[in-house]
Amino acid sequence: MIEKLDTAVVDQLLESGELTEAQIDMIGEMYAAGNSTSEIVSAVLEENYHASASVGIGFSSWGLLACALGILFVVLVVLNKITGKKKDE
Amino acid sequence: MDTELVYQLIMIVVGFILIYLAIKKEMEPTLLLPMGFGAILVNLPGSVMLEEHAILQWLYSVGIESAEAFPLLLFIGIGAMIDFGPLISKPWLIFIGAAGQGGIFISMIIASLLGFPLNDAASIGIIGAADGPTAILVSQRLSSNYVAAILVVAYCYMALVPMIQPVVLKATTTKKERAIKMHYSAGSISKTTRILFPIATTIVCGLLAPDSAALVGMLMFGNLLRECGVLDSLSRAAQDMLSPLITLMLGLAISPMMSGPALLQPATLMIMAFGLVAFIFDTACGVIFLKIVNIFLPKDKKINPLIGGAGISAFPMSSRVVQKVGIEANKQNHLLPFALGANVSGQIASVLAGGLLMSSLIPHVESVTSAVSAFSAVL
Repeated sequence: MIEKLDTAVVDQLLESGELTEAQIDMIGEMYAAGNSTSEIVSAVLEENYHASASVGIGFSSWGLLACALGILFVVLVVLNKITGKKKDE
Repeated sequence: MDTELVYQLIMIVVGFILIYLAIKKEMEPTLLLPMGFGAILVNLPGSVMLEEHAILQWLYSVGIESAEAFPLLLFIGIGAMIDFGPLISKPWLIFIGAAGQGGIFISMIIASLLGFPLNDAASIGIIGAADGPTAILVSQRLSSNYVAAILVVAYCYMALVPMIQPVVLKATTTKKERAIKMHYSAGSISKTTRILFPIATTIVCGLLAPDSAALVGMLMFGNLLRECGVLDSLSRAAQDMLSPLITLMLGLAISPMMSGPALLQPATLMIMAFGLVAFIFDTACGVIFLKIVNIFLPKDKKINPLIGGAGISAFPMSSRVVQKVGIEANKQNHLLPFALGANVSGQIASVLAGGLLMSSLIPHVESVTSAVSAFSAVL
């Protein structure tokens, strides 16, 4: 199926590093078989990630969230300190 | 009777139930009323409402599918309604928001381990945030197969906050813990701080989780309208007109997804179950976080762990629930200001959590969508 695409298009798709040639071929097969984009996305994700990858993604996202909110905490403390001297409420 | 007709009849009954809840129980009427009415409309046998150019389908395409306009515009109204004062004066409450999103990640992991692909698992997990607009955005951007079920379940659970949360709060705390009295001293906040807060939050969140920039940006823009002091009439319009109007449109726009044959699938029941798990874990994670913090605090400085339950996005419902459960345990308890602070931090945290999940998966989703577009052009 991949041969139906222009070489430049295939190169562009491969450039992202997210898809392999076999997966592009699989996407073409699924599209031709009438599968929806959502179904194709799920199929590729299932192939690229083992279910256990969700543990890594889940906990790393939770950690990043805590860090981001930690930075916001610092921003809030600093804001309160800087502007605390001229309270107008 | 054929199965399709049975499904349609079931959804018509569901429509009546939603209308009943909206009118009689006053549960999220601006949302449940249009959703219920829309459910009846799209499930009438022979209904033309599911055809491509029908008004409800058009609302869905324009308001949700193409640029997620409705959820984003709704966030301007929500931002204008929120007073971030309790959070600004007690910045430590922000960590409750971080803990309170645990249910999203835990239920995502469980759903994935039980066989849901990652894009669906992440979309299902986000139901736990009790944040409808974020659930729409994440499931739509991740091309979930269950957008309809996720939206309907997310909004139903949001409406059920006053029923679900008290049970979880009571199950995760002892009466002694619930009775812990907390003293609130309202620190004064300068107008400059109130104005700088939405701008600073947008910059921090936009840099750390670029995919959350649209939602955080709209939320904080609404808040800037409220706090800037020169656009009071626009701020009031965003609160009183824009927000209910967009919610109404959103309710109608969701209804094409409530077609019986499409919605009544075993997967929908699974999503309902996972959504409930996410919701319960979100509430419980906030409570447990404060219980752990209490271990390290002196006896007279203990924090009432109920406040942790407000670390979700359902604002201000969740705060009211915490206040009510707190008063049941100790009539002199006044947890509302703390709960409001935790609640608004939950609002920011849920949007960020959605953005972070999208950041992890969107490169894959976009690559696949590009490949699909490339094939659609040649096949």
